Amino acid sequence: MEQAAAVIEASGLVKELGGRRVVDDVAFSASRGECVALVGANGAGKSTLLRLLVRLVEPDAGSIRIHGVDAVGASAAALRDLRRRTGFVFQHHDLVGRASTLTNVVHGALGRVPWWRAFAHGVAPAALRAEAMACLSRVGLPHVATQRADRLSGGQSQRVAIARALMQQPELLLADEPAASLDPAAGEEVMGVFRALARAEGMTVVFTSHHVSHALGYADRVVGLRAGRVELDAPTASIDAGTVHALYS
Amino acid sequence: MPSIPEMPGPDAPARFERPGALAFAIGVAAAAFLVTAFRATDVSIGELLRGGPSALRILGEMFPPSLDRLGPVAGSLLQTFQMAVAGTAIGCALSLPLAILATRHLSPHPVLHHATRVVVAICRTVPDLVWALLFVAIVGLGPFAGVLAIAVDKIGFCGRFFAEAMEEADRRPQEALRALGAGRPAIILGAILPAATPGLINASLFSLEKATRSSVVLGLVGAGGIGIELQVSMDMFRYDEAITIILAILALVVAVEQCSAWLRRRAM
Ligand SMILES: Nc1ncnc2c1ncn2[C@@H]1O[C@H](COP(=O)(O)OP(=O)(O)O)[C@@H](O)[C@H]1O
Ligand SMILES: [Mg+2]
Repeated sequence: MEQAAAVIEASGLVKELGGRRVVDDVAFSASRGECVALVGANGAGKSTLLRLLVRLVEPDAGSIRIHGVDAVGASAAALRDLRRRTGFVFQHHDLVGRASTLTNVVHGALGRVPWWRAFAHGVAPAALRAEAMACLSRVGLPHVATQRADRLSGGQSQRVAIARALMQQPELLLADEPAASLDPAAGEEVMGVFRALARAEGMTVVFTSHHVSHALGYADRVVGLRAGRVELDAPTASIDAGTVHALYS
Repeated sequence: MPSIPEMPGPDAPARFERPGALAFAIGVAAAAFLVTAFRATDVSIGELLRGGPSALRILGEMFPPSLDRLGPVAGSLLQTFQMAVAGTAIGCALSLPLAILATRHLSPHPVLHHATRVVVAICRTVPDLVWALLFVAIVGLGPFAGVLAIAVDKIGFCGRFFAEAMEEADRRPQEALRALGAGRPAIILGAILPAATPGLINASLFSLEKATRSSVVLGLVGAGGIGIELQVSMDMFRYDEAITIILAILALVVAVEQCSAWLRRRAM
């Protein structure tokens, strides 16, 4: 991939946790519209790497540029803006359970509008509410807008989390094991949403998964980690399941 | 059942653990103090039994309850409840910002966090009757002093339980909002308050129940409400009026408890 098109670009990333290099001199980049799978055995450092990218975990060393902006040296305000432009979807249900689905999606705008306009859908301006409904439609769930989030199924709540991330108007979407806590069918559905976002809307998507089939089926490129080091970085078309499986041995 | 070869098992532990020297000394001291406590306060079954006849006499005079002063009694009962409502409302409203400052992960600064905890603890540990005496001295006799006393007492109670409810709120949604660039007020209003709502409502309703009970007593120190009526009736040996007032208080307290139990079920 050309350097110029990179939406996110990191190099020399190091993170030590519990006296061990969990991420060890990792270089990683993703370009516009690309869907990248981060694979590797349990404990390989996938989650840590993803969190390092938006400094939810602080790196010990290395450089990160997101949208061309230096994320490591960023001020608190600049970092907030970077996070605003980067959607993050976690493995576990992380919606506000007692709030409505629509409120949860409107929350996605909290990084770019004042808090009193987006802490609940009831206080949001009409344009923001309409935008949130559009985001819900993009994940196929406009009909659950008024439902309380803790009444949604696992797959639905993960898609609402994606809708909330879309509400950030992100150029980059990071997802940590987005399908791991879902049943297989719901997992496929969620992965399909990610691929559609990358293909149809030019969004850059980076997801971690321990399902080889998800990596091969939905990503354009597979990056494999083993013990915190990059062992594989290749277009999906050029590798087979055996290559990926080898990472787990 | 396959047979298990019999083997002598290890010895069972002693039935009672032998206390250490320190624990033994503390136990003896506590027992000794308990004895002095009974002595110093003239605890005596005989005295209680000798009081029996006057108890029966008072009980006899209570019935039938007198309805002579029903109007004024109803009026001060209403005022008592109004004091409880006003005091609880002020107390809960002030508790919310204090609780945010007292919640570790929400407080802007550790010093502020600890300072707020101390203030809340003082509000809680000083008895409400003492607050009432203080406020009577400050704003004079009357229900406003009672309202202030209740409000401060509620800060002590709600400040702590609100903070606990917010500390227990699920952290994952908060992390998710932080990760998308939301600031502290947004996280508090968007993620923490919704999660803490049942706890907040629960503590507020419990406060109202507690305030209703304590507002009865506040009248005794001149801080308004029905307590003063009760005192007057007792002082004038009008036990038939006193029982009316006591039953009225009982009815109010039970009514408030029932209503709040119902509201609590609805809020969960
Ligand atoms: N806060 C932490 N303290 C100590 N060790 C940690 C911490 N977080 C993660 N680790 C360790 O770092 C390694 C990588 O974890 P993680 O990034 O979650 O891997 P993955 O997502 O690939 O399963 C694991 O061995 C894990 O035990
Ligand atoms: Mg992980």
